[in-house]
Amino acid sequence: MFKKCIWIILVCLIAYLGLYTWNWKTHYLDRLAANTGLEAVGWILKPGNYVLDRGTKLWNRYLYLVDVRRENERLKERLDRIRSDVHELRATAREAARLRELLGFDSPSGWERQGARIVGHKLGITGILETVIVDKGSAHGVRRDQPVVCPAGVVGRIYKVSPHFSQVLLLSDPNSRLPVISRKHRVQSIASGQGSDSPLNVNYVPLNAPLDNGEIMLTSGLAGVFPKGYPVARITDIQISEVSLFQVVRAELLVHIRSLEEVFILNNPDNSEKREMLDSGG
Amino acid sequence: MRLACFLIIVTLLAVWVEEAFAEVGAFAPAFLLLLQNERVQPAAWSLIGWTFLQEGVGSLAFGGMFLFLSGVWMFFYAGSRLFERDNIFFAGSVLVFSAFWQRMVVWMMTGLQDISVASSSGVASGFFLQLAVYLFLFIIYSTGFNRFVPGK
Repeated sequence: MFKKCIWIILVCLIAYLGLYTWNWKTHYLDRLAANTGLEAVGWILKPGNYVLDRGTKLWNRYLYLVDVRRENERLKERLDRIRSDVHELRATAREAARLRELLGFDSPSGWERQGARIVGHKLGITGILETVIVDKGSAHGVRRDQPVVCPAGVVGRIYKVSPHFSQVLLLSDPNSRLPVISRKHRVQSIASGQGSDSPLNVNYVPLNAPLDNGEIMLTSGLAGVFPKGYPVARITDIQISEVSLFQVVRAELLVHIRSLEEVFILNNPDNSEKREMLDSGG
Repeated sequence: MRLACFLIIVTLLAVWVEEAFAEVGAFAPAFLLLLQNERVQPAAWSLIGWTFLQEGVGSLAFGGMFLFLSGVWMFFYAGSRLFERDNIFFAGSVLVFSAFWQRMVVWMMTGLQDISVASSSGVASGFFLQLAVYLFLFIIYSTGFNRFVPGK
C-alpha cells in the first residue's frame, strides 16, 4: 500500500512538472486561466463595487437622519437635507473636477487613449505583484504591455488580459522597470519599484551627473513601450555612494494609486501593428 | 443542488475576502470542509474551478494554486489515516499547514520564475493573518454547510 502511494505521488509529480514546463513554454494554461479566472473575478467584483458605491451614497444621504428628535423634526430634517445636498454637491463637484481633468487630458501624439475604471486590486495567494484590475480587456482592443497612465503621471502597464478585464502591473512593483529622464538636467536612468509604500529606486545615475532634489523624472521613450515626456516621479533623496559608480537616488511616485478610480490605457497603432506581425510570425 | 448553491456563495464570498485582504487566500477552508464531509467529487471539481479562478487573477505562471490545493489534499489524506477527520484539532492542524504551505508554494514559485516580491506585510504577520482568516472562514463555511447542505 505504501509503495503504491509513493508510485502515485511520483507519477503525479512528474505529470505536474511536465504540465508546468509545457505551460512555461506555450503559456497556453496562463491564457486559459486569464480568460476564465480573471474574467469571472472581474464580473464578481464589478457589480459589488456598484452596490458599494450606491450604498455609500445612500448612507451619506439618508442614514444620519435616523437620530433626529421628533419635536424639532421638521427643522432638523430641513437642515439635514441641506447638509446632505451640500455633501452631495461637494462630491459631485469633486467628481466634476476629476472628470474635467480627465477630459482635458491630451494623449501624446501618435497615441490613442481609452478610459478604464479600476474594479479590483491584487487578490488571491498567487496575487503577489502590485496590480490592479481594470474593466477593459481584449474585446476593447487592450493588449499586453500597453502603457496605463492618469493625468498625474504613469500608473503602470498591462500585464494580463481577459476578454473584458485586464490586470495592470503598477510602477511600484519591484518587477517594473521604466527608462526615465530628468526634466531639468536630462539625466537618463532606469526607475524601478520597491513596493506599494516605498519610493522608487532611480538606478544607474552616474556620480558626476547633475540632479536636483524635487526634480521631476519623465519617461524617456526608450524601448518604445511608453510615450516620451510623461511624468513619472519626483526625486526625494540623493546620496553619493562611496562604494558604487552610481548615485543612490530615490523618488516618490506622482500617482497615488490607492485613491485612483479611473485610468487611461494608451495605444500606439504602430506598436500594435508590429506586435501583431511578431505574433503572427511575420 | 444545495451543495452547488453553497459552493457558488462560498466562491463569491471568498473572492470578496481576497479583495479585502491582499495576499490572503480564502478557498482552502471550503476545500477542507468538502474533504471532511467526504464530498470527494465536488472537491475535485472545486479544485479545478478555484485553481483557474485564482491562477487567472494571480500574478504567477500557472501551477501555484494547483500545487497548493493538491498539497492540502495530500496532507488531509495522510492525516486522516492517523486522526479522526471530524476532529476539530485535526481541522485546525490542516489549516495551520495550509497557511504554512501557501507561503512555501509562493516562495517556491517566485524563486522558480525569478520574480521579485515586495510583501505588504511581514512573513510572520502575514502567516498569522492568513491563519486567522482561515479559522474565521472555516467557522462561517461549516456553519453554512451544516445548516443548508443536507447530509450524505
